[in-house]
Amino acid sequence: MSKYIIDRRKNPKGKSLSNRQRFIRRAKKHLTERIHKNIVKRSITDKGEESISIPTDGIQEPSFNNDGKTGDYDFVLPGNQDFIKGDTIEKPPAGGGGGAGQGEASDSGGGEDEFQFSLTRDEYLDIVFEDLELPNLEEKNKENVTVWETHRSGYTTVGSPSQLNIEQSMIRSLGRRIALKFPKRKEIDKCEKEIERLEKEIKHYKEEIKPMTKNRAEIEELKLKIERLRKRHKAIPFIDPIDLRFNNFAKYPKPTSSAVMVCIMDVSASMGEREKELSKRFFLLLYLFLERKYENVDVIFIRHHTEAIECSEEEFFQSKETGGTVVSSGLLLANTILKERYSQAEWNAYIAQASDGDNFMSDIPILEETLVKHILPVVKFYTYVEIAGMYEQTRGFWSAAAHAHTGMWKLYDSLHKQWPNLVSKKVKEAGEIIPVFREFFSKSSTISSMNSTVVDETEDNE
Amino acid sequence: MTTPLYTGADWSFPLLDEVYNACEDIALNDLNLNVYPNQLEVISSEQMLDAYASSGLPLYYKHWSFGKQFSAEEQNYRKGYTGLAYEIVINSNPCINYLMEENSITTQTTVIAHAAFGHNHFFKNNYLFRQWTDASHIIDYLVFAKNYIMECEERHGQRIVEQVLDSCHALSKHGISKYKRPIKLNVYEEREQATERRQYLRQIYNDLWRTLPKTKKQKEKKKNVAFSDPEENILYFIEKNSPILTDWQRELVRIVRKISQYFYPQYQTKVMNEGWATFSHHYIMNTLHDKGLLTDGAMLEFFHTHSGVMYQPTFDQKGYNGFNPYYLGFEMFKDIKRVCEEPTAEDKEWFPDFAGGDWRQTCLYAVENFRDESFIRQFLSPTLIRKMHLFTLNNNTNANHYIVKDIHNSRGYKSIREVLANMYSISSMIPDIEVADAAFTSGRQLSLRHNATNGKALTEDAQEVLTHVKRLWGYQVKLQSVSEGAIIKSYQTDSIPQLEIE
Repeated sequence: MSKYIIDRRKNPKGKSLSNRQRFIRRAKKHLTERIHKNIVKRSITDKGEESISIPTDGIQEPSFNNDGKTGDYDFVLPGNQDFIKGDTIEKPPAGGGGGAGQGEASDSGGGEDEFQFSLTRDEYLDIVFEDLELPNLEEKNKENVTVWETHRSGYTTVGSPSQLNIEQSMIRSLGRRIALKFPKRKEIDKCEKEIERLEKEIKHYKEEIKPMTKNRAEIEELKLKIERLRKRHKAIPFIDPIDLRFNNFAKYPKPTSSAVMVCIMDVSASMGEREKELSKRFFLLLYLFLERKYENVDVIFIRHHTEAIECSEEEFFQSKETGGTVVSSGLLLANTILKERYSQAEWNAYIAQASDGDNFMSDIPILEETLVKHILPVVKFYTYVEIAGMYEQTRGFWSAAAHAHTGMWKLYDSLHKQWPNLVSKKVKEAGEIIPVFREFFSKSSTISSMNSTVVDETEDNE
Repeated sequence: MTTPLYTGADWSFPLLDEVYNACEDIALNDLNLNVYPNQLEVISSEQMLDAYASSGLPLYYKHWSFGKQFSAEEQNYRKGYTGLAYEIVINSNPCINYLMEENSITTQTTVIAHAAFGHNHFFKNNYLFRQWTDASHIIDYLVFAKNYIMECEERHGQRIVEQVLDSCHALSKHGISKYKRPIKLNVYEEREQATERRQYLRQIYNDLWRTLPKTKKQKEKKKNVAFSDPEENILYFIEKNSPILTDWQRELVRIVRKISQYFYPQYQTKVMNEGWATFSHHYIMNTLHDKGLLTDGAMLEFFHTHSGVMYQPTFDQKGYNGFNPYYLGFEMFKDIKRVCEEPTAEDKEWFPDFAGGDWRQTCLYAVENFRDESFIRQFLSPTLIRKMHLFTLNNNTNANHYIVKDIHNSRGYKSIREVLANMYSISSMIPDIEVADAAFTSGRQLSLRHNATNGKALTEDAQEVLTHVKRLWGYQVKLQSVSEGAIIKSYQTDSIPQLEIE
């Protein structure tokens, strides 16, 4: 009996991947809902998979089944201990499988209300950032650090043998041979056959009877022709160095899109643990989002109270400094860093600022000047998240009672009208981070540049 | 003293080869098995998960439901709720056996004995498989199905293909002809004929013909198009008669029912098939040990896996989920062997034709000529009923209690055996639903009838399945559950005609 043992381990795995994508697409609505609800409970930097359960409607596979609870029928069970004929056993409560399992074989967890499975990190983030886009994204060419990409670019006459393009070379060889009238083997064969035939004819008749001079002359002629052809055949090479063509590759400079994200956080005494935690979540989301859109993202951390310091990520989130608040100090430092290290031609700059909104009143004019003169003309997008006090009501966008607003809020509010790339939002609890984030970046976003275009259109119509 | 085949735990390809040969020797020369050529394929656990998601078939068309199954299996596996199966075997010629690379050599040996010989022999010899499936063409057919569906997706869009398939899947258990044997699959011919026919019709199409007045004969013919006999194969009926399906949609219906038909014998022989494979591996492993080819350590490991597979909780234990087919089947074959070798007076009375006979012959006879229902009816012995402490209960919708009808005593054996056999009949696994009537001329309503055995109603899913039927049929669909002439429940869809699947 024949047998084969085959090692299939090297075969591609992930055959089910496209089925899985189909499934995720189908369950998208529920997934998005759940993820947006649960995202705040999880740290976004968690590597690895996200276990998620979704309602089964829409992903059920119904079929006709017998309902084991109904009808009048008998069934067999194993493991009788002390029942005798005529005993009665209480039916299991509705819903519980209990003893009577006949015909109710449910496959793959059917019958449950929730379907649980795992999403990979990429699948997860895809859904989190779905429908979001970065405003004002530009591909910028980094001239000093050029990234080269090789592309195919036609053929050359010189090159390494490994890049020999046989098809192109043979086309040229064929063309050259035709042009030079390279004799075909067939032609020589034909002549040889003709000679053979003529010689046969000569042999057929005795020389005395018929001299066949005509034939002899023809043979001589043919022989000469064959010789000529053979010479030619030898003289014209089948492949000549001039036929050869090699695949050519050319290098092109590749535009790279880079972004620098400056996180500015107030670490003055008024910013407690909760405020920092909320800011951190917002920054992380922004970072992940930028990372997906740009090839490289630099992150700069600036913390400030009355003076600003550039620091590492750990220091940024864990430092326990206290002091007063001079917000402009942070912005001035950001401005210096952007000017010195990140030229506008190469980098897309984003600034994310988080604060509780407290600032010295005397600092407000300086802040405004810094923003208007230096920062806002340069940055692609400036997000300001104000962490509202624990018991303060969060307000709708731009709609809260004026007296509740901090000085900074008022300033940013007024600047927003002029500078649509500056947006601000208040956040009170973790659950609001995602909605706020989505509002900042959703495709039909609240950025008022959009609003102004709408206005323009209506004006045109009129 | 023979040296053992191996002493370590790891397997290698040469070792697999040796082990296979040792198993083969016992299987063919001692057990007298008759098998298809074997193809052993070593796969990784990820590939095993992939195989799970497609019912164990090596290739399957694409559909989200397989992705759902995959995601669920993956989650369970990664979280450690369930282990993976040690093997998957495919009823094809050559017979494809998947061995998982994580298995130890002892497990691999068990798997080879179990699948490559036990299941393989069953596939090749059992009458249901011989009559109903075509092992040598199934892989070709699956390739065809996969490509065809992919083409449809490219041509008509993924969404609509998915919708048709969803609806077909809902009816897949009702895409089986239980009595009419299918013609053997011959993919190439069938496909070529179908395209040729279509091409021809397209070429000769001429709109003028439509304008010719109809002759009397033709008119009469048209009138005679009426529903004739009830049809148990709903998908078949839809494929042939649906007023709204297009060519390619009919082909999809056909694919789903063909594949469904391929699995039909497996529903009916779960206990026997698993039982026979388990019995085979148990016998082969023990014989290998007796011959000195397996070490005691390997045997201990084998018993551990074997008993894991054989776990049968009693009805009141946690995790009870019906009968474990491995356990029931194995015990029954083991019992046949016992009745042949050491028959008691009781056995002689119950099984006069083989008590004291040749166990090999009797087992092979059983494998060839029975399915679960008839196998239990024929071979379940009082000894086994006592061993498993079987008892029957009566369920009545109106009662609050189950009533114990019979227990494992001399008055109960016959009835217990009868009831258990009935539990494995097709109608208790798949509700008996047939196309009762179809109004071809007016209204085009489709009527289905559910013959409720013992008054068992359908689960709530039924209403949703009907909407799937309507999607394929296009017009109103009704379903009545009938028990002893009385309608116990009826369902129906809306009556808005839908002229195409959109």
